[in-house]
Amino acid sequence: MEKTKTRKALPTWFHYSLMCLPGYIWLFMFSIVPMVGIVMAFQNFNPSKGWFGSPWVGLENFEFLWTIPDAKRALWNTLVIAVSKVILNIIVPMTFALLLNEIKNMKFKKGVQTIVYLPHFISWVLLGNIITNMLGTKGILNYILGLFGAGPVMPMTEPSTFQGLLVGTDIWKEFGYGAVVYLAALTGIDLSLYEAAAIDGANRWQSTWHITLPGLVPTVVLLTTLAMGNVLNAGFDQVFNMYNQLVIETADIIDTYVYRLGIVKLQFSLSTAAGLFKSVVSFILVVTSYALAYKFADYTIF
Amino acid sequence: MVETKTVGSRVFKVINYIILTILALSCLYPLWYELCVSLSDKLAADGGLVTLYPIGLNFKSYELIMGDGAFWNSFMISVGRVVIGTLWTMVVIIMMAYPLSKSSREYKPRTILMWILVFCMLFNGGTIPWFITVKQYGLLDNFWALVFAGSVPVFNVLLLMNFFRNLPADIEEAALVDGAGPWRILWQIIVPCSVPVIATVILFTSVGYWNEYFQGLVLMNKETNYPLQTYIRQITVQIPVGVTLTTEQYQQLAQNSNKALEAAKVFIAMIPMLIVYPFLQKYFVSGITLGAVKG
Amino acid sequence: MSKKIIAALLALAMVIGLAACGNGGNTSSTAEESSKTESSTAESSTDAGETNTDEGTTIDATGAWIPAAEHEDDAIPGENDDRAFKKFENTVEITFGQQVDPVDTTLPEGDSVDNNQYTRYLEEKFNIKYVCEWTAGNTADFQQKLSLAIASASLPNSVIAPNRNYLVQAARADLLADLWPAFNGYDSKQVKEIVETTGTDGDYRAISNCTVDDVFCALPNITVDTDGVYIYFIRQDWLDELNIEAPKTYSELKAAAKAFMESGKSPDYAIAGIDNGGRTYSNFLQSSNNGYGFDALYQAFNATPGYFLRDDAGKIYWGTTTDEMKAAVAELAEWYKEGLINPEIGVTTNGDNANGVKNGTCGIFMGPWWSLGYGNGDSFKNDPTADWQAYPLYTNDGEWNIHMKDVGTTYTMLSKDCTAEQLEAAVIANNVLVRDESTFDTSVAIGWYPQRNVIAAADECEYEYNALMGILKGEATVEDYQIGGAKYTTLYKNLANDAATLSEVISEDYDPSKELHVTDMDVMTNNGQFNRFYAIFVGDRPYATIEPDKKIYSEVYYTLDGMDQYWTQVSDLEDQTILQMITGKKSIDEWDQFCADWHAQGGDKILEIVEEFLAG
Repeated sequence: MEKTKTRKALPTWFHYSLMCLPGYIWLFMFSIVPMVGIVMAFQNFNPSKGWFGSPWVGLENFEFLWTIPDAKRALWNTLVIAVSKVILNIIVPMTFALLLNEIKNMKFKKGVQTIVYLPHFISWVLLGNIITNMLGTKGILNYILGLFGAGPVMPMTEPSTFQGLLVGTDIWKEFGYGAVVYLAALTGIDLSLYEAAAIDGANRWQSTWHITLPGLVPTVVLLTTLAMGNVLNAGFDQVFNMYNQLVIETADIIDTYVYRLGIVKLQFSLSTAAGLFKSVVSFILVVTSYALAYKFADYTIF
Repeated sequence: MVETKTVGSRVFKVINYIILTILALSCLYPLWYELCVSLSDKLAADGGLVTLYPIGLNFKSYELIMGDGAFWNSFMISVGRVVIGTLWTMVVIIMMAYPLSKSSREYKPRTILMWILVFCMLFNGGTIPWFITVKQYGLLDNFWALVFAGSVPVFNVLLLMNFFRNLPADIEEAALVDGAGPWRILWQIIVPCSVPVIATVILFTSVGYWNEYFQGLVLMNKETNYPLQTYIRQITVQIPVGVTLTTEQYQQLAQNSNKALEAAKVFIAMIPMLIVYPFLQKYFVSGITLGAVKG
Repeated sequence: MSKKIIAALLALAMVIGLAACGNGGNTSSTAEESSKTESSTAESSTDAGETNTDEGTTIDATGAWIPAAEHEDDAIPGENDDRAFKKFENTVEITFGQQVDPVDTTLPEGDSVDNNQYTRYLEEKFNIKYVCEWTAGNTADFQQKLSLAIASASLPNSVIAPNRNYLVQAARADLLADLWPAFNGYDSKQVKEIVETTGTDGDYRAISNCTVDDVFCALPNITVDTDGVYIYFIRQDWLDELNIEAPKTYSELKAAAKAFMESGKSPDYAIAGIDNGGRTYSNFLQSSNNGYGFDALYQAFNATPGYFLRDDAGKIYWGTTTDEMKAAVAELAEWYKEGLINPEIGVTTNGDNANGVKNGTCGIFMGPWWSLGYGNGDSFKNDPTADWQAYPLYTNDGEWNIHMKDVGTTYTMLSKDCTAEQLEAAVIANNVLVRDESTFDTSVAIGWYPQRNVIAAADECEYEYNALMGILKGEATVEDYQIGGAKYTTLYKNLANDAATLSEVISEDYDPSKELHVTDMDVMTNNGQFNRFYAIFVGDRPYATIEPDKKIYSEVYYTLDGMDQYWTQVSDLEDQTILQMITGKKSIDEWDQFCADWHAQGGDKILEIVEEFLAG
């Protein structure tokens, strides 16, 4: 392809680099520079000596973490909570999208769609407080149970079900938003397929089973692989704003553990080590999942 | 599509309407709850008695808020942060996403730049190093820290990049033939073609800036510089696990609560985003979908 | 001006100042002391170390404790003198970080945390200017900011550590100044007198408490002993109505709780508990002020959880992992199961645990003296006839055993970046606060005073109880306790003001031979003083009038070197397990397993470290 002469002095790649420059300077200043602090994970960090003067201890912090039952517990909880979230955050929004798709009253459909996005835009700081109240003895849950003569129940105090509660409330917060992708995929399914099926005498269930679901498979596969990077992301904001001493054994995740170690107990090096461990595992998972996405769904994200 | 009118489908239809209505109501409830508490009598609110409707309906909390300088001060800081932050972020990440949407044949450094981006998305030094860095830049207690300190929203860059990448190649080629340079192509061709994704990312970015409380807390020294969510958090927050109080703190907790007023503040803080998003909603679906799912 | 010159000038000023005071022998030792100040910032850690090890032997110039008796009397409130209340020639600025209450409305329009009645007073009278560097709106945020300040080695000149862990971390990170020369040289006689109530012969707990690795590095906080004495509170009006005697033992308390529920007084639960993040008992690190904990009940079982105790053989053991504690937890679990205790204990947030107490549906809770009045002010505003009374909970043998708290809970840390002058200014500001605070307008919340540090005589509340009762009984007059009065004393700094406002709160019809009830008091006219008097007259009545049978101290009140990492683990284990057992999430049958885990996961190491430390 022939370029016009006016801009020949400066090649395209130069312009591209110029475009990237502000963003990468920004990235460098606020993401890359702070990464120097990762060295704390290998030190016995002393604030007045800083990152360059504190004594090195090799992998001691990691070894110590490995001996702490709470650290292992946090890792396990993180896996359980995050994996459940990953799976259900695919199934539930999809089901919801299918149900919504069956609605023919457009006003109702639009209305529901608009409303269910709502929790997505409310921060966990506020929601944590509201949910605690909703599920408390004077909350709406026990109010409704009371109408049926049941209860009272206190899910916020129950360690055996608290992980379920965390997953459930997270799904509740995100399902409306998550359904967007599926609704879009549904509109992409060729309508003539349904017509052909109807002519063949297929009922609603059959056409859903044989046309709609297969039509969603690529989206599901894609979202699943993309979500794999999140298996160590159990959601700091949510857990931090909802957990308590009674349920901590099942609710404590790596991020909240790191926070308590570093900010509440001032174990700066241990805290950084735990955080780094999480980053490394996440990185490996993300790279793997993106490789898988490329291989099986022919999808490149970077 | 052909409607089949069997009994089963009617039952399904009714059940479906019921399920979706309940789901929608459950999503409305938090907002309704805060509204009820804020309109309730202080005693009922403090006693945790409000569940479904206001008890002792009154508007005192809202009258109190009208004269609350600190609240509106934080409100304005948040508004400024959202406007300036979103503008800055959009300009920067659009310029970043465009070159990255080229293949590594067209733009050689792309591969390395991409890896840096992904690396930064997953690794961080943690709160402490980040705080020290921002402090070294002299940005503590400075409004601009609220705009910049969050660094590049990598996920949004990827969203934009994927959208750009999936635009038909011929529109760009036509422009090249017309003698347009990369800058003109980006701003006059690519951007106008990408309204859905840009609207979506604007929504993400502004919601992100609006809901963010942690940076305000850590980087601002005085409450007069707090954005709204930080302000709200400091009046509603629980005592986190592992913290023990001193005498004065217990007394403060015991005496100064006004849950109705807190709820009114929370309610007002939720409003702006709820007003904005239905307007951007129509772009939303195609924005996310085209950004994430190839063709 | 360089640091050296300032220090030299100060030393000169002090020599002149002290010479004017007379007392020659004392002058010379203090003068040498102050000349030490200039070098102290650089090399003083060893000085202070010696100070603390050979305390009480000889008064040596490097900084042995100068007893209060060797000082001239302090200047009277509002006046300057040449030492502890001197006015600096040039304004000395001190930056600080502080927690302030974002919703407090008591501050006059235009005032702020570094511009209010107290800071203006300091600046006008003493040329000390407090400059706010940062504030935080609640406990969690404050601790977060403090942690970051420590981690980034950027403490303001002055900041208050909310517990000893922060002090130790900051000191070990080499961020704190050696405060000994300034403190020992410039603290007022009044402060010295109060410090001396915490020990004998130069061995004062207030001092050793602020000493980390042999360096004295914080202004001590000395709170009243009764802050750590736990009693229970009950609605006397309900007891009367139901014809029940005030409970003495835990089984009687349980019966009263049941009666409250059955009579419909407490439809939901009878006994309030802790919020999310709270503890059901205070431990050696936070040995006081555990509002809404169950400390009183544990004591009734002869259990002292969270303390390092010594058994008959002289061996150190941990107070939680004992059979007595097991029995107490089992009893609490039973109460919880029967619905007597708030089912949402440990879950409620943001002070919601006190809802029932405030709105008059819960009639029993436990805590220290100020839980009544200061702590539950709203319950009187909502119902001015809510007659809360305080009683000790006895063991089944009829003993009242109390656990004794540490000297103080907070530590005013001064950064090592402070000049010698700033350190002195901080000490002097502290003197001023202790001497003059009661003369300020009490309608402004004390939370607005920069770096407010409580220094109170250990028996202040009991002394006040008796003194004020004396006035009510006509044995003394209000004037006796005013400046110049026969019974005026600087040691009890609030007494003058309290005596003067007594008549605003206590009704004239009150018969002082009977116990004080809420109906004898005016709740609203002077609500601040009402809260204080309720706390003193009712909340502290048990400790002021009943001699405890046993006072139990922890062998150690802070984490020792090398203990932190183990403590992090076992303290979490302990807090969680106890709460889970009370609420029935874990069976009490698992108690032995818990004890074994506690010891195995670091408890044994901790006991070893404590044993070693105490052996010297």
